[in-house]
Amino acid sequence: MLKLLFVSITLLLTGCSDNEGSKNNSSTNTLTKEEMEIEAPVQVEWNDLVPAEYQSEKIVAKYKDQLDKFEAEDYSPEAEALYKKINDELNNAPINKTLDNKHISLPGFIAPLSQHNGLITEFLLVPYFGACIHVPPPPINQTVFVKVADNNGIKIDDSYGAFWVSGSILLDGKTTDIGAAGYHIKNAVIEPYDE
Amino acid sequence: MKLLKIALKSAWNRKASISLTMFSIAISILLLLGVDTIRKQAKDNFINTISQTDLIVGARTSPINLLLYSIFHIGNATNNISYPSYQKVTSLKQVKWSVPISLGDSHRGFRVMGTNSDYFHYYRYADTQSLQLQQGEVFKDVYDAVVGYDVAQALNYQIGHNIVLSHGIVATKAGEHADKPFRIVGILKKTNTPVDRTVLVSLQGIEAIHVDWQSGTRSALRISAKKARQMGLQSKSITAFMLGVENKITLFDLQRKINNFSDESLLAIMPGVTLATLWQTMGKFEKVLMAVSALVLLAGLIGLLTALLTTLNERRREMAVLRAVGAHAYHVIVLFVLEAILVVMGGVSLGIAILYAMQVIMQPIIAENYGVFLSIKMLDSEQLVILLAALLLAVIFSLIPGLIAYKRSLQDGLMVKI
Repeated sequence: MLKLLFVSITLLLTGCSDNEGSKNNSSTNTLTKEEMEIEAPVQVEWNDLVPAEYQSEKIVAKYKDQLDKFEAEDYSPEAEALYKKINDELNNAPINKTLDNKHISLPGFIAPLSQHNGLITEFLLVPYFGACIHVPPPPINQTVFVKVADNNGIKIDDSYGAFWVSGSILLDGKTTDIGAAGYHIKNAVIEPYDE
Repeated sequence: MKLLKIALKSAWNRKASISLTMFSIAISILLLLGVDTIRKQAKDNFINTISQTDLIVGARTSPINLLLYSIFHIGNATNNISYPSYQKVTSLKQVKWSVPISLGDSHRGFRVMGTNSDYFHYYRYADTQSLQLQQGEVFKDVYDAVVGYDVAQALNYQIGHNIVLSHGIVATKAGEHADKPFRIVGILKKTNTPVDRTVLVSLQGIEAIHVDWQSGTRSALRISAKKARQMGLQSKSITAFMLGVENKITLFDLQRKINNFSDESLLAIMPGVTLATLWQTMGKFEKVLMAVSALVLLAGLIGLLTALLTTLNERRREMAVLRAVGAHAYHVIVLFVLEAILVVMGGVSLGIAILYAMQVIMQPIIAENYGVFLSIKMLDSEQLVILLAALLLAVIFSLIPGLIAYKRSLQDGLMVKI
């Protein structure tokens, strides 16, 4: 019993340290599969799902010279065209390959896809969801396809809340003509979101 | 054991009032369990009716309305969508499969649905179940029809029967498409979904029966069944279509694309999301219904308390005699508790019996009118908790008259002055 406690505490500690170092030395991760499963998940943010070189600041910086040419309230066709180009680049950003197979935990809202015995077992996880139809839906790199672990799931009555979803994130390898396929979490563990 | 006997005999002497109390508890239990059963079954039913379909597309309306008329056959379509739009949408790269649906006609009270043979291939219910034929085969000819299990049962149809479809969803002689009878070629196995109550024909079949109805009523220029077949009919419009995508990640994108389709106003819904919305709305009514039923049960139990309290005076001598022959003080209390338990148990048993009897009777009626299939099940753990709570509450309530009687039995003595 004591031994078990000790093991879990060490695991917890390593989990924490991993959390801090995850962004810098992600390539040195050499955990076996079993270790991955018991390792505490790394909390990530939606922004982490966008590759570093596609972060909005970087893209805006890239076009800084051109943007500076226009005044703040310039609605000329050239300015519009540039804004559109930048927006398209942001929206079509690919997925972050460094996340592959990481055990992560991500908060978000769900769009139910399939149900079993009154529990939602498959859903799309997105950073925001619901009534706002003024803007396009979240882009592909901000959408995660989730399959919950056995004996887990979300009651349909609760589906409007926010949840923490944790599990190993996989990158769907096949690249189709509709863009690189997105993120997957299989055997996900779901918890209600609380700060 | 002896106490139980005494309690039973005492209760037998007051059988009229006790059986009334029991009946009122039975009614309140029936109400509470009935509401709970129906809400759970309705939910199961709805959820089990459609699975593995990623989007349903139809004319622009409320998402819930589109889901209800296209899949559950509740209410009517607001509008059709053009066939070219259907072809255009389903030729998008993301779309893996699609099934068209054309509604609006009926056969003797059962809805007729025009579709193509992909429907049998892609439609899934209750997780992964696909439609199975009990007899016969899928329609091939323009005038072939496949009927759901309940249709065949209710109308006693066999393979080879000729049937006549009617215009609109209420059958009238004037609206019959009598010149173009359909032949039943297949009967589906039971699914416990609205499919059981549907007549399935090909889109060409739907087109053929309407070919001479172009002005809203039948035109004078009759086109015979044979000629209609030779015309090589192509659908001009359908009511809705279901589709599956290659990659679910692209669902939002595809949905947006369809909703912004410029040729025609279309609405694409994700069935899971819409069902959740529907349940969110229904959840509020459910809670109100459950609260009302719980209050009715409470009223029933207070009725029991009232009955026990009013008998206190009648039973003064009974209690005094019992004490005189050596009954303990707690025996008096136990007698009241036992009586309460007896009444509640009787009420609960009666309530459950009526509940199941009603389910058996109402099953076909509810299926016919609301498309919801009640499957008769054992009580679940939540319902057992409700029953236990009722019993516990009754025991607590019965302590009040028990304590009063115990106190009085000390003071009264054998000579009660009334």
